[in-house]
Amino acid sequence: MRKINILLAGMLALIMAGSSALSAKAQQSNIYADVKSRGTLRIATVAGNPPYSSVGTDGQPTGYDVDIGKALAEALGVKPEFIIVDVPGRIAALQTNRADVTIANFTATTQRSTAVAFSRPYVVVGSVFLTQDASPVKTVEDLNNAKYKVAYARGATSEQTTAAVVPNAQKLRFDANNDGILAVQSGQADSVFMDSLQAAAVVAKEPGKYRILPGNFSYEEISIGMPTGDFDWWRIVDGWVAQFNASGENNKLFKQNFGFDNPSLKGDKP
Amino acid sequence: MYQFNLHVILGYLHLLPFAIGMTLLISVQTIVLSLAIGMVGAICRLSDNLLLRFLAGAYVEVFRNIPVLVLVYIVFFGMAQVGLRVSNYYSGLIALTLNGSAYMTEIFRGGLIAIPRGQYLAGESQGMTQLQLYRYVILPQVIRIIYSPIGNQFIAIVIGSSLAAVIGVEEVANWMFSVGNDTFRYMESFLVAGAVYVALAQTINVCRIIVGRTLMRAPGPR
Repeated sequence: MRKINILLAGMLALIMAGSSALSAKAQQSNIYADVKSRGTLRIATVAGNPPYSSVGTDGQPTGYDVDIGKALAEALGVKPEFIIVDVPGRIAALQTNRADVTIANFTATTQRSTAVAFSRPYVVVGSVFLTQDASPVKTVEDLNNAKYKVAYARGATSEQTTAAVVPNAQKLRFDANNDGILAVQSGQADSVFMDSLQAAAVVAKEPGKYRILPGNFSYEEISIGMPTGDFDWWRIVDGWVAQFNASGENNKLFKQNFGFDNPSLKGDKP
Repeated sequence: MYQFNLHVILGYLHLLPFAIGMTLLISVQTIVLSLAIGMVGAICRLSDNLLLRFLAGAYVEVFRNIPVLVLVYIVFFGMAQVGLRVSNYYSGLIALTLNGSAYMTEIFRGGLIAIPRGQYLAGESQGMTQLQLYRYVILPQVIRIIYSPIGNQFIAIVIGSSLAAVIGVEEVANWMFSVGNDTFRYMESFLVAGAVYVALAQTINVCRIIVGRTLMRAPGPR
């Protein structure tokens, strides 16, 4: 009995020592120091969201966001390590300290800023309704009808905008934009509410197959997400984005992936 | 460190009963259909007719070996490509039933082949018709044998129904994703959904046990 007591006391002491060591580490957390000592930058990105990010036939992530991640890692002198997450995972990965940055077509919103930190934007987009070119739907007013189905990726902004703009249409929620496009392509949905630049890329890829309904329904600053509470890390990443935007590197990577110039960089292109 | 805060989720709890109802509805419908198809499938697999045996075997090997997630996509998107547009709820139901019934077929088959040949011979020697033989001798024993594995399958179906969320069926997993997306409290919504699934699976399990106790009570003195 006595032996057991001593054993228990020892275990308790170990657990307490362990937990105090952990909390001490949490207080002086410095993401940059961790990135440097690890030698890799952990970048959360989503799959199935071309041309921002998708997984190529070789199993490697590819796309505009992925190229940005590689450029950021190179600037920091470390290797990029991509973590493929889904839409919810973009925030959860930062909150649970599984990623150092999220670069994943990630719109900075006030509400999200309460959960994660955002850099300045590297591209500004809107949201539009995409339909098949053959569709009888010509305007958003046509679409606002109970006989039509509107698809979108789950998320607060899409939820609110579709509820306001096409309240009568049936809603079909998906995890990724790709599923929404597939729904329109297969006829399971009449329209998909999505990122305007991505929609433009879809239209350009298969001319004559798709059409964008007139009207833009959002202003979205696509930014790099970071965990909250580390001002130095935010300063480093945000400063890098400023350079990236102004140096012309942003436009180069954008054009490689989208096929046209980054429309939000008109002011500060060199 | 992640700050846990269940409070934010409270505002969305009123949407949960509908989602739970949807999960129960699709699960129970899948269970009923899978039981029926599984029973027929098992009888076909053990039939003397070569064609029936082959068809049932192929059905099991195909649908047991495709993940439900893939089946959901094939039914919802794939069939639509060839003009067969099934709504998202029925796509989920069909995909879950295809998978569930393939497993049920194997469970029923296992029960049927566990009955010793002598039982059939004994029944026939008493002059029983095939119907009487199955009704009074074979099936009561089969049900006892398969009762536990069938419970596993019921739970697998309840849990598997969460995959219908990928095509927007508004059940518990859909609630989980939507609440997480709205509040950014993903861990909390995951945990609540996890607890709900445990409760649902246990509810179905308890129902199964109660039904089993009633059905399989030893016959009393006449």
